[in-house]
Order: sequence, then structure tokens, then C-alpha cells
Amino acid sequence: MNMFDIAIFCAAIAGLIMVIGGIILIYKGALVLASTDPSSALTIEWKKEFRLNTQAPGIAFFIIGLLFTLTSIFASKPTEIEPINIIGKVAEISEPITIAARSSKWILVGGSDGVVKGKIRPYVEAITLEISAPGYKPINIVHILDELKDRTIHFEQPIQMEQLVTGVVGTQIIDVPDEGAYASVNSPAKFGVSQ
Amino acid sequence: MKKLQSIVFILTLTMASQTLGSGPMGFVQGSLCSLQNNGPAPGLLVSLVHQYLGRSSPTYTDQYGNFQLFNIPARPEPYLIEVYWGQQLVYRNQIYVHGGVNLGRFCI
Repeated sequence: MNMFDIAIFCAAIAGLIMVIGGIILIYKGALVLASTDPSSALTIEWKKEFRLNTQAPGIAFFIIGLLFTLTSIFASKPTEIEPINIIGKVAEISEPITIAARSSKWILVGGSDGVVKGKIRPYVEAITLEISAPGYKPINIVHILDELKDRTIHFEQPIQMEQLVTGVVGTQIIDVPDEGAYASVNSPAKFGVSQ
Repeated sequence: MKKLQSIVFILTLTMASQTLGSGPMGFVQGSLCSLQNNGPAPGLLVSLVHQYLGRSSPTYTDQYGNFQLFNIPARPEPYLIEVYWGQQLVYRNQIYVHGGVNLGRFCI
């Protein structure tokens, strides 16, 4: 949780406290939701697009609290990551091709006497594509993201992959009593991190 | 007052269950080779599957046939390690993960 997350969390809590506090104050009679004269009504107006007029000024507590809550919800909305398109061809291959993408390494230089202390600033500057296919030697291609046109990676020429193995000699598959109880290979990952 | 105590109890229980949920983790690594030429078997999909946890992230063997999977929850029940040639299952075995597991080199 970074400082921004903490600020959002605090804003949300503040909003809730204001609303709950307003309710408690009304309950205890310290705050009265009573009508006033129309001449002394509270008016909130913004650019002639939004206008709120109330004769119960105590409601302002709820509005301010609600604004805190809504602002924190809006601010915490995750930004959409722009995709990267990959277009190209791998020459003379019938096996299914898989492309794994990974970012650069962020190296921490610091610490002495076995103590590790420092900061890394993860920033995706370059992307490494590892093109693999069953039995073929994988190929790594590095692209600098800022140099991409329309966030698209084009393979300028068909990629040549070296075949090391043409297939498996025999399968070695143990039987499991209830195979249906296990998730299929195409089901979404639930755990684990691959390298 | 009793309501407040109940809310505090529920919050404490929720936080405790989240803490207990993140148990010990292990890893699985190994190296695949081909019975054709005893050389490395690159580009094969390796993943773990567990009866209750579901399927792990897939990994692919590198040019030396090596593979690694990290952050595998240590469980008393066995995992199945599966190797696929494309979409075809070519290897399946049972392993237990209580920490780091090095399967060594095995050929298919």
C-alpha cells in the first residue's frame, strides 16, 4: 500500500465518518434537519450545470461526506493498460507457437555485509518476447516500448526457429481416479508464477 | 455495546482468516529432455494441477529444457505435474510440494 492508496483509504474513511457522524448528531439532537426560511436556504451551484437548493443545511454534512467517498472511489479506479499488438510470421513451422512477454530486469545495487536495502523503480522500458514452440529452440526479441509505432511490434522478416526435437517417443501419463475433478489445461491459472 | 463487540469480533476474524490463508509457499523446477536424442526438450508447456486449488500458471521449457514454477502453495494433498506438447498431454506424474521441489532431469 503506497501513499496514494493510503490517501484514498483515508478519504473514504473520512467520508464514512462524516456521514455516520452526521447521523449520530441528528440522533443526539445536536444537528437538526429542519426547514429554514426559503430566503436563507443553502444553495450549491456549479457552472449552471448543477444546482442544489435545500432548506435543511444539515444535509451538507451528508453531501460533503458523500463527495469524499465518491472521490476516493473514482481515484482508486485502476487505469486501463494499453495493449501491445504483435504481428509477424515464423517460417516453416507447423507446431503451435507461444509468445511469452516479459519486462526488463530492475537491478538493485545496494547493501553491504549481507544487508539488502534499497529501492527499485519498476518502469517498463523494454519488452522481451520469447517465441517458443514444442521442440524448437526459443528465440528472444527485445523491443524498446518508446520506439514502437502505434504500440505494435512488427517482425520485419519471417522468424527462423531451429528444431531440436521432432516429437516425444512415448507418453508417460499416470492414471488419476477422478480426472474430471482436475482443471483442464486451458482453464485460467489460480496460483503459481512462471519464470 | 454488544453490537459493537460483534462488529469488532467479525473484523478480527476476517483479518485472522486472511493472515492464515497465506501459508507457506514452495517452488518446482526441473529439466526435460528428449528420448529421441537425449538432448533438451524446449518449448513444452509445464503446469501443475491440484484437485482443490485448480491449475497453476503455465511455464515453457527453455532452450536447455529447464522450467521453474514459483509461489506454489504447500499442501498435504499431491499435485499433478503435466507436460504438454502443444495441446497434447505427454507426461503426468504426482508430486508433493512442501517446500522447494527439484525434479531433476527426466526424459520423455
